[in-house]
Formats: sequence, C-alpha cells, structure tokens
Amino acid sequence: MSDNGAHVLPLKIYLLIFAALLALTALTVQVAYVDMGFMNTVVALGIACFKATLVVLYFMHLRYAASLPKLFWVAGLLWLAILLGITMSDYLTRQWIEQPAGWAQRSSIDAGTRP
Amino acid sequence: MQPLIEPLYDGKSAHELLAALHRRPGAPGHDIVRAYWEAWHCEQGIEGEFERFWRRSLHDGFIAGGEAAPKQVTVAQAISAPSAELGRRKGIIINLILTIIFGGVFLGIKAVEYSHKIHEHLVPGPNFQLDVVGSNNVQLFFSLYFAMTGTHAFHMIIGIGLMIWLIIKARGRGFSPGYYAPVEMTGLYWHFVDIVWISLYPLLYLLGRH
Repeated sequence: MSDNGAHVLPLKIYLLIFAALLALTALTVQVAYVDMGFMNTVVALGIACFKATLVVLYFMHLRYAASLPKLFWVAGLLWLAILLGITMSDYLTRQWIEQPAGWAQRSSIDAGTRP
Repeated sequence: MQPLIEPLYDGKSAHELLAALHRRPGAPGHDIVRAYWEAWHCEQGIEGEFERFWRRSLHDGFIAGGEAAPKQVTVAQAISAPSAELGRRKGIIINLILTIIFGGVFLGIKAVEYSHKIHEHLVPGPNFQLDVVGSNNVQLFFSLYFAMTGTHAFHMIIGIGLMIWLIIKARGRGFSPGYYAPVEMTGLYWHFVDIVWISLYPLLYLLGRH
C-alpha cells in the first residue's frame, strides 16, 4: 500500500508546478487578445487541458500512484467524453435534417378538429 | 485457500488482475498467493519449514492462527507508513488556514462580480435588461455563467467547511502518520474543484475577447 497514497513530494516540486500554473494563466490571458479565428478556442482549451494535467499528475499525485488509480482516472475521462460527445452529437447534427414546416399550425388544426 | 481450475484460454484470475494493476504484471496466481503466505509465515515467526506449513494449510483448508493476522498487519503498516511529513500538526493547520484564506479571497471576488452583474441587470429573468441585438443569446450566456460559476462556488464553500473540520480534528491530535486519509481526500476534492475552474475561466471569461 505504501506506493498508493503516502507519497510525500518535496516542496520544491509543488512551488515549481504552482509557478508553471501561474505562468500558463498569464499566457492564456495574453493569447485571448490575439485574433486567431477558431484557433482561439483550441489554444485556450489546450492550455487549460495542460494545466489540468499538471494538477492531476503532481498535486493529486497521480504520477506516483499505482496502476489502479490511473485506470480509474482514465475511466472517469471516458465517461466524461461519452457525456460531452452525445450532447455535442445532438447540438451539431440538429441542422442536418429538415425541420418540419408549419408543425405548429397543423397541430393547432388537429387540436381543433378533435373532440 | 481454494483449489483452482486450469485457466481457460490463457485467462487471468482475480489475483493476477489485481497484481497486474499493482505493478506486478505476469505473476502467476499460485506464486502470488504463495508469496503472500510465505511473507506472513516469516513475519509471524512460526516455527518449522514453510513448505510443510504450506502443505498442511492446503490440506487442512485453513491457516492455523490466521484469524489473528489482520490486527498485527495493520499495526505494522501504521508504524512503517512513510508519512512523517503529514504527521506534522502545525504544518497541516497553517496550510489549511492559508488555503481557506485564498479560497475566501476568490469567493470575495466572486461576490463583487455577482453584485456588479445584479446592478447592471444582467441576471437572467424578468429583470434582465440589455439594449443590443441578440440580447436573448446574452441572456442564455449569463444563465450558463451563473449556473457554472455558482456550482463551482458552492463546491468551494463545501471544501472550506471540510477544511474547518480538518483544522478542528488536527488541533485535537486527530491525525497521525498512520491516519491522514481525510486530509488526503479533502486535498483531492479541492484540486478537483480547481480543475473545474481551470476550464471554466477560459470558457466564460476569455473566449471572444479579441
């Protein structure tokens, strides 16, 4: 069990990661004011993913964990990807098929003719 | 101590799967079980050869004296756990107080932000007021903004509550090198909330700035 939880990192690593996170935050803010079209979103989220990875690996000690916690982390990401993926598949494909025209009127006529 | 059948199609037993996940891939199940009991046999200081003890235990179907093992193993682990760092009471308390202060500053900024939005009538609902084209989209944005930042702030308040509890517990000498799981778990929780903010900040505050 000793390689699971009780990993004590030297303070230097924490401070280094903290400085890196601050620098990357400054970088995201700077980059946000440069016009790069759709690449702005990609760059901003890319930096965010990198920062999240640093937090997970060092602050949450995943880098020094056994394979089981790593597997759980990847499984969590997989479920998150399914969650976001299915939501986006709805959002992105709504325009692919024609929307029924006059649906509202027809339904009101139907409602009128029915007892 | 149950007999096993020959693995079908080179399959892995539960022991082997767990061992593989704990950095010992490829070890046969028999060896894993045997190694565990060999270490136990040595630790207990049981007289006689291991092979004889192993054969007898397999024959009898139980480990002689096995019922006393759990207690002794846990005590041994508690003493050998390499976490002197986390046993330092003062360090825990100072770091927790610092974290609460920084969290409080964040929440204070959030409160100022929210009050600005309220004054500018940017809260979605009947009081929403903005004279630009497509103000409905703006209203949609602000409903997402309030839902996401609000959920994040709520989880921070939970985290601060947990840390106050940890301080009280640490003051009462509630943690030791052998027992610090609540500190570790709260740390993991706090960093998870942190990760959420790392993605919310560019999404809500930075995109579309240029």
